[in-house]
Amino acid sequence: MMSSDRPGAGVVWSRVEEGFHVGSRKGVFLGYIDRQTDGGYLAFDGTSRVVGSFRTLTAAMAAVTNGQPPHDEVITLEQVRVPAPRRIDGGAA
Amino acid sequence: MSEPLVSVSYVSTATAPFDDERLADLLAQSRRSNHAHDLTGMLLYRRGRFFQVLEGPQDAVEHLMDAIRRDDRHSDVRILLSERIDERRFTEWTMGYEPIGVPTTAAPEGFRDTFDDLESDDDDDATIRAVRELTVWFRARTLAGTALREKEDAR
Repeated sequence: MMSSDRPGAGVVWSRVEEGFHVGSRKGVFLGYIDRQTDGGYLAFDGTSRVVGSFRTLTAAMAAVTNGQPPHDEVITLEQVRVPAPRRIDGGAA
Repeated sequence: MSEPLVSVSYVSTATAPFDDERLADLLAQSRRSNHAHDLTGMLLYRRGRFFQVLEGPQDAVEHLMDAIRRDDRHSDVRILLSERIDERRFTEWTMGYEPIGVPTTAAPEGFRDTFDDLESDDDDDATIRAVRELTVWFRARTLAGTALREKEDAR
């Protein structure tokens, strides 16, 4: 059984479109991953700031989950002006 | 005091298929109307289904939802999420639109499908999460397109 304090525990990953994946935990948006034309994966954190560029989807997932990239991966720092969506009120109507 | 802002996310079925020209007409019409009524939001069209987020003053949003229910271009209108918001999420768009593809491969193992969750009958949390995922996708795609155009313009 997976320990609930592991970084990947409780994270829900969804595919929106081919190559575009969003991670969240307990309803909180963690970040997203966008596959690039060169086959690499660009990972973004919960404020849509670039976390890094990765060769594999699993490495990008780990970066989003941990909030920081593995030390051996290329890091691209770039600010993107996208406020994180947030749940404010209410449930499904 | 200003009227409270609300956001309504809904899905509907197009009563007839929408090609690029019909979609362009629909978007032009909704942008004109939304601008006049202080409404903002986004629209997706996929496999004959619409997903739309509308945000703005409560009366204006409710009035437009009533009109959409009567609009013969839509059927099976179903509200997924209705909420009060402190600030708009689509300030820049009177009606933002990005084409979205339908995957041709299976999702990676363990991944959920956003569009399956979107209309989940028995899991409100999944529906709300899917709405958020589509919002994230839309903003990412829009900004990526803007960055690309700026790059091309700079050449």
